[in-house]
Order: sequence, then C-alpha cells, then structure tokens
Amino acid sequence: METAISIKNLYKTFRKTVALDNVSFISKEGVNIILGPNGAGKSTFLRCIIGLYKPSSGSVSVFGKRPYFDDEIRDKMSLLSDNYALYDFLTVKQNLRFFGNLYKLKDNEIFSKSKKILKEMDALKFFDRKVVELSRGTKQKIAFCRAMLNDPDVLLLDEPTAFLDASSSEWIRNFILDYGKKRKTILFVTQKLDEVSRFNSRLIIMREGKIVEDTTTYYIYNDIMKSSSILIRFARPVAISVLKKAGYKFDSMESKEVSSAKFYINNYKDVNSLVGKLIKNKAFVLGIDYIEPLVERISKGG
Amino acid sequence: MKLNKVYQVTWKDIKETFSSILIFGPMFGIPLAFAVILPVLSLYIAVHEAPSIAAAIKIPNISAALPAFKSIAFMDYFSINILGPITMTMPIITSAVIAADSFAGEKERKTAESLLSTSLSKTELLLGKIFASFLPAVIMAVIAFALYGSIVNYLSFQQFHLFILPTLPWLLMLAAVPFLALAPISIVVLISSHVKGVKEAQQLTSLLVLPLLVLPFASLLGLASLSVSFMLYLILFLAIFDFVLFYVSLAVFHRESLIN
Repeated sequence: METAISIKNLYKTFRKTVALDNVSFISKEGVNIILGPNGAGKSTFLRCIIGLYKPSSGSVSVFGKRPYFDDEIRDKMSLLSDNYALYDFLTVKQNLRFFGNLYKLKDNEIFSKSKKILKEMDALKFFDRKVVELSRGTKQKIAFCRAMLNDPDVLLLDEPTAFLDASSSEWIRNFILDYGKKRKTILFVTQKLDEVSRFNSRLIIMREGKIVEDTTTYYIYNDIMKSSSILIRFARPVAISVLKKAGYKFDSMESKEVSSAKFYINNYKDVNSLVGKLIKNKAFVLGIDYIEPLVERISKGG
Repeated sequence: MKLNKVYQVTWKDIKETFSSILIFGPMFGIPLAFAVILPVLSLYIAVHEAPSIAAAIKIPNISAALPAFKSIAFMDYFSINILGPITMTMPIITSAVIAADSFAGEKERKTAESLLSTSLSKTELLLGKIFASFLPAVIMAVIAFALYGSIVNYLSFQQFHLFILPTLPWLLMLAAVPFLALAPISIVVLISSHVKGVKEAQQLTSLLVLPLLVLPFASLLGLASLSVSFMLYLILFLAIFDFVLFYVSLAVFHRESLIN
C-alpha cells in the first residue's frame, strides 16, 4: 500500500516566526496521534498537509501529489479544524449539501450518509436548523459529519472532541478507531494527555515546530509517570505512620489520619509497589488518580 | 475548471446573502427606490423647471428646443443621460457590499479552512465569489431599468402623449451593465481576499466605487455624450479591461492569503 502522507524537511515560516522547523514525517495506516502544547505547530502541520499553506521549503506529498498545487488530491482528504468552520446562516442540511456537492456527491448520497452519522451522534433533530442557532458542541458534531462526507483516505482532525460531552467524545474516538481499521490514515491532533491515553496507537510529540518524539501511546506513560505524583484515596482513614511505612514521599492535608494522600513516584512501576505496601499495612485503597502533568513537560524528562 | 463547483460557491454565497432581509433589503431597496423616485422627480422638474435649468446648465438639446417642447426635451434628456447612468451604477455600488464580504467574511467567520480543504481550484473559487456579487448586480440593474423605464414611459405618456423609452443608447446602457459591473466587483473581491476583515474591505470598497460615479456626473455636466458610438466603445473597452483584470486577479490571488 502506498504511503498516504510523506513529508520531507518541511519548513513553514510566517514572516520571522518559524512555525514548522525541518519536519519530516511518514504516516502509518490507522490513527496517528499528534500531541503538543499550544504553539507547537500542530495545526500548521495539518494545514500544510491539506494544502491550505504553501510550504516555505521542503515537500509535502499525499499519495504522491502536492495538495497545495494539485487540487484534485484534496477530494481524498478531509480536515476538521479546531473551529467548526460551518456557515452560520445556512441550515445544517444546506451546509452538508454544499460541501457534499463540492466532493461531487449526489444529494441523496449526502443526506443518507450524513443522517446516519448525525443519528448516531443524536444530532439528526437539528438537520433543518440554522447553524447559528446550535450549541458549540452540536456545531462540532455537524462539522465532524461534514468531514466524513467524502469517506476521506486521509482524515485530519484538529482537536475534534474539544467542545463535546464525554459520551460524544467517546463515540468519536470509537468511530475513529473503527475508521482507521479500513486502511485509512488519520492524524488526530490533541493537547490532552487524557485523550492520548484512550488510544493504542502511534504518537507524535511536537514542540516549537519540531517533531521531538515518534513513539506509541503506550510508552507515553514512561514519560507521564516519570517523577510524577498520584493521588490515592482510602475507603477509611489511614494513620500517617502507615503512609510512612510505604517508603515514598507524600503530602497530606491532615496530621494524624488521612482519607487521601498525594505520593511522589519515579515511574509507573512504582504504582503497583506503593499500593502493594499500603494494602500490606492494612490500608483500604479505594481509588488511584494520576495527576496529569502539563503537556509542555512531556518528553522533557518529566 | 469545473463549472458545477463555481455554481456551488456562487449559490452558497447568494443563499447566505438572502438568508436575512437586513442584508439584502437595503441592497435591493436603494436602487429600486431610486428607480421609482427619480423618474417622478424628473417629470416634476421637466414640467415646472425645465427652461430655467436648461438655461443654467446649457444643455444643447434642451436649449435648441422650441419653448413648447422644452419640457419634453428635458424629460427625454434627463431620462436617458442622467437616470440611465445612475440606474447602471447604483446596483453595482450596492452589490459591492457582497463582494467586500466574499473572502473577508470567510476569513472573519473562520469558514475559509473548510472551503479551502475541498478540491476547489483558485479559478473556481475566484469565479464563484465574483459571480455571487455580479449576478445580483446585473439582475438588480435589469429590474431597475425595467422599473424606471416603465415609470418614465407611463409619466411621459400621461403628460406628453408619447413614449420616451426605449432608445438605442438606453438599451446599450443596459447591455453595458455586466461589463461595467465585472471590473469593480473583481477588484473588490480581490481586496477582500487580502484584508483581515469585512470592515477593512468595506472601507476600501467605498473608495473604489467612487470612480463609478464619474459616468452620471460627466453626463449631468455635459462632459460625456452617451451616444450609440460612445456606448459601443465603452462596452468594448470594458470587455477588454475585464478580461485583463480577471487574469491579473488570478495571478495575484493566493489561497493562503485566506488563512493567514
């Protein structure tokens, strides 16, 4: 199978600002997560791939074509931007018909496809409403539906769950995972570590316009949990002396007995060891939450 | 280039324009109001003030007319040489509002990303946007010409028992509308693609449409005679200018400028 996206030494500058700095990338089938803090160049990266931006130097190739110059290749691609990018004064139906027609789809094909997706997202009832009347989350659902109209071989998603509730976000993630199995290439941009942990896929970490790590979501825990902290909640209060016996540095709000405590660990393997020691000392562990570090800290040694 | 894609962009923009009466109301209302009010005003002036005005601004056609026919000569001159150019330019000026919003609106409302993500070429995009302002301007001009022509004829028949319109220069004025509309609308659309927002585009547009007023004023002051030969040369010049301008627009239009 031909590589969908191939990028070589890509630079993108805006006057004196370097947005992408010598980025090289070859996509893999399925989901490719792109993680990075604000200003890392993630959105610029997607925009260069779909041909919204002309590379300052280097090359962007999608199925062997250059999307900025070869217009037709964009029929095989789709971008869901962080802004919903729909026409507020048109109805949902008019918006979908407009984009579907640009993808050379017939009206009945557009409507059957979009109604199926909207029904599953519980948004079909808004089909004849003007976009301006809808909530931010509903607009995002419509925008996702719009992005799926052409069954893109390359799907670029820029924080697609940013304004969605938990169940809709989960639906989109499951949809994307299934879609990736159909030999499609998906680039999923996010800055939420929590979101990353829900995928088992390739992970690209970007910072200051560069790809700083090409790994998998599984291995991210090596970084996330490095010199990190976890919060342990107990079913009934535990004496401070019991916490001390576990052998890890901790913080607690109370001085004699605590119902929860924050422990400092070196890596994810410490979680099992710490909990084992607490249980051995007759503490009843009710729950463990890791305290999510700032995305800026990822791949910087914790 | 696929004409269907051009049509889709044009149709989408027109639907957006007509989604609210607050947008299209004034745009259509002003030229149509002019098409009704000005002929009535002309007749009043023709009947009551024609000799004194003709003497003051020295319009040869009217000055040469016999006293009994001065009012008819005035109505004839005014209907064609003054109302004609005003009716030609007014719809173009109001349609420039749509043109100013074309790309600047997409930028401001952040819809340009999804539009540019499709396989639209820059020719299709540019043409689609130009037609979205051009078609309302031309349709509005045809309606305004029909309306003011009918009113002029009705009033002149009631007053003088003759029909003043149509004449060949008047019909050529109507034929010149598409050629006259294309250039300013193309320029405004291009400006709209290079500015940051709609307000900026509208400010520049108001400056750009001013030259359009040259034609009615030149005619009013007797500096331009809207004869058949003048109108034919004007159409030829505008056709060449429009053609060249479109190719220049294509060369300087960059998709990326809609995102930055």
